[in-house]
Amino acid sequence: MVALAQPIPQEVAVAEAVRSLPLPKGVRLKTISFDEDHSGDPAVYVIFAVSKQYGLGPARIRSLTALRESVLRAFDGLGLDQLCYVRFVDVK
Amino acid sequence: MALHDDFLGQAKGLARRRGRPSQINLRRATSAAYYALFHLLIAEAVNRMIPAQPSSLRARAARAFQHGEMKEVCVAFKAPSSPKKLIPLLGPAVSTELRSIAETFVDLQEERHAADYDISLVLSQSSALNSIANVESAFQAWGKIRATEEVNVFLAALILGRRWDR
Repeated sequence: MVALAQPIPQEVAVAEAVRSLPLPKGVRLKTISFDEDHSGDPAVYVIFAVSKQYGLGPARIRSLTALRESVLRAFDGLGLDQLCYVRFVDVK
Repeated sequence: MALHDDFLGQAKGLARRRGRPSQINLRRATSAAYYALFHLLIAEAVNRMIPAQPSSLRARAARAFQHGEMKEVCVAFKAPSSPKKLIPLLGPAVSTELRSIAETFVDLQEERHAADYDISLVLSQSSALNSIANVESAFQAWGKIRATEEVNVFLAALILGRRWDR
């Protein structure tokens, strides 16, 4: 029998917290990954795909910084030890 | 113009170039955004904590700051409650402005490291512009709280680094 990999509770908690947040138009959650950051601290990377269809004007950037802020505050509420990094990748 | 303002101006210029910005410009923009905040904090710390004479003393002292130690201090200050050992100086929690500045420093240091050293990274313009916007917000937040006692404690922590724990 092959054992299926089960997500660890921390991953589930982060995913649920992030998925509960409203997203700006043209933004979708791409990945959540647990790793170490450049100095070896435990980290979680929350990566959003951003459609360039909506441009990258000041209002759009404000909506992304607000999303980052929401993710960080939701992450704070989980009381985890990792550092949380929010990243954006552009998609056409 | 101060060095930190120059770095921020350079970051904005590189990330907002007409047409599709090149990867190298997005990398340099991200790096410059980090260094804008890095040099703002160092300038504030040495100008407040280090005597002005002899004339090159502050410049010499500015070189003693280490990225890793500054990150450790900022990790402690971005937490919802004050670092335990500093509660007698700070009270139970620091301001949201100081937390936000510390959070941006930690975030940008990681992004800067990737931009400068991860050759597989494809940086997005939205990411670079978001980094710059966060540094601009950090500059504004700094303007609001720079005369407060908690900032004195924060700057002392940056200068003392790991020796703060003794």
